[in-house]
Amino acid sequence: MSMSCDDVRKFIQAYLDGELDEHEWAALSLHLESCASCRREARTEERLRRAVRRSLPLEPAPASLRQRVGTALDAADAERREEDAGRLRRWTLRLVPAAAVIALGLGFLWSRLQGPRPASGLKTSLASLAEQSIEWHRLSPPMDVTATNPEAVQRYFSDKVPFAVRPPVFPAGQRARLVGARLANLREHRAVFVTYQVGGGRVSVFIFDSNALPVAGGRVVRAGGRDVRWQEVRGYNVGLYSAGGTGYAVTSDLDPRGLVQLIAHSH
Amino acid sequence: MGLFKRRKQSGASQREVFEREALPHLDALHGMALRLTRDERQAEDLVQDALVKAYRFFHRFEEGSNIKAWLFKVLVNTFYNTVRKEKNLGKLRAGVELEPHRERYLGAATVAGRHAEEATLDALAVEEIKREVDALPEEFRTAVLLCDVHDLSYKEIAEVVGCPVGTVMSRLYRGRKLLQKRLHGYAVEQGYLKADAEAEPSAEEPAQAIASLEDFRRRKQA
Ligand SMILES: [Zn+2]
Repeated sequence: MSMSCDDVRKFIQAYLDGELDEHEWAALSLHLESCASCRREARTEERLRRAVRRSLPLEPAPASLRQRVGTALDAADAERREEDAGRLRRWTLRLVPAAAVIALGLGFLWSRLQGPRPASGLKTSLASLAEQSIEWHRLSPPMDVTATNPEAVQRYFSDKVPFAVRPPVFPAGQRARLVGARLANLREHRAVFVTYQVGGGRVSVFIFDSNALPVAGGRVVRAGGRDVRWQEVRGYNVGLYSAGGTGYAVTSDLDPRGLVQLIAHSH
Repeated sequence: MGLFKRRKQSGASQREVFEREALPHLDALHGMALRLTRDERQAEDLVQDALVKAYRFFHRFEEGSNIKAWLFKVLVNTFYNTVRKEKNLGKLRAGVELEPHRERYLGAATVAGRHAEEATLDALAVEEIKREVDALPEEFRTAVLLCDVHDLSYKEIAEVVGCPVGTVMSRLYRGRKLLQKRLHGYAVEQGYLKADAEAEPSAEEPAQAIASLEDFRRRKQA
């Protein structure tokens, strides 16, 4: 199916936003290959998106907000307990008009409701690192630099982080393609977040100074002569290894075997 | 009985499930709230109100559906229902009109070749882009932010703002064209681009209004 320039102009945004089905996408791509003016239009649109993303990067919310939300949720919990207790009291009063029993029952339920919540600060650092890796992987935040060439990424960050950024190169057989990279923070440390397109899926890698941020925990497996720490969280697999003082946390939606293969053959 | 039902889920309380699912989106929600209210204090209030509301209605959230889109929906609704009422509506609507001083050069300025313009978008200062995004009419701004900054799909955006997908496409189209036009004007003013007789970017939709993808697909079938 061939598309007119008019159609292309109308759907070029849907094209860039990844909203077209594969046939429409192919038809539009074909048109762009042969039409310089639509191609220019597409490039400008693309740059506009990049400009918007660049000007509004995802920034951490103030710590005070996180605290406020926690307090507000506590209040909501307390309110709900009041309501539940009130409902129970009315219900009990109707059925069992004995004050002692009511008090006992309420006391019991109250203690159950107030029961300890498991502390959430007990995670090993690999687990929390994995959480952040997965969050970023899922969010796929805008990139500071889009490049398919690892050297270009390395150059870009050479004056931005205090360690060498060498994006892993994955074996050609895996159809892995570097997409881009951006500055990030892991804990309080500078890190670089790199994303790849692999086959139909995505792989994200946090690169950081492993001396500044030693990581413990997880299951250790051998892959490609390296010790890889392993953590599975919410269906995502995170593999962590270090080479030459640099740490790599690799997250993907690949199955574990695929991810191990990828890491084993990276260099 | 709700009292027992809520405690029943395998070990984890509703609070824990909610925190685990919703709080990772706090940064994104705060970012969106800040662009909606354009005020740090109001943004924090908005996020807090929205999250408490989401928590109260968490049982209505269907597991397996997109929590991020759902949270954005609660946030945007809360904004429309509360913050916007309190705020001076006139002030919020100010973004709809071009500021008069800008109108002057926008009228005269045009592009010195599209190549120059492309490069200019990359060179523009972050603050200026942010200001122009903030100045977009609210409906356009919301659509552009949800799409470009928060990576929601058209369908998710339609759900968040409560309108058909075709309307989302039209708002995105017009919002982005308007942004392009204003940034272009700024670039000329700053001397990044020289004024010239060629056409400047237009915020008008193509001759035929932006159709929804569904319409397009139907037309293709015929
Ligand atoms: Zn064309």
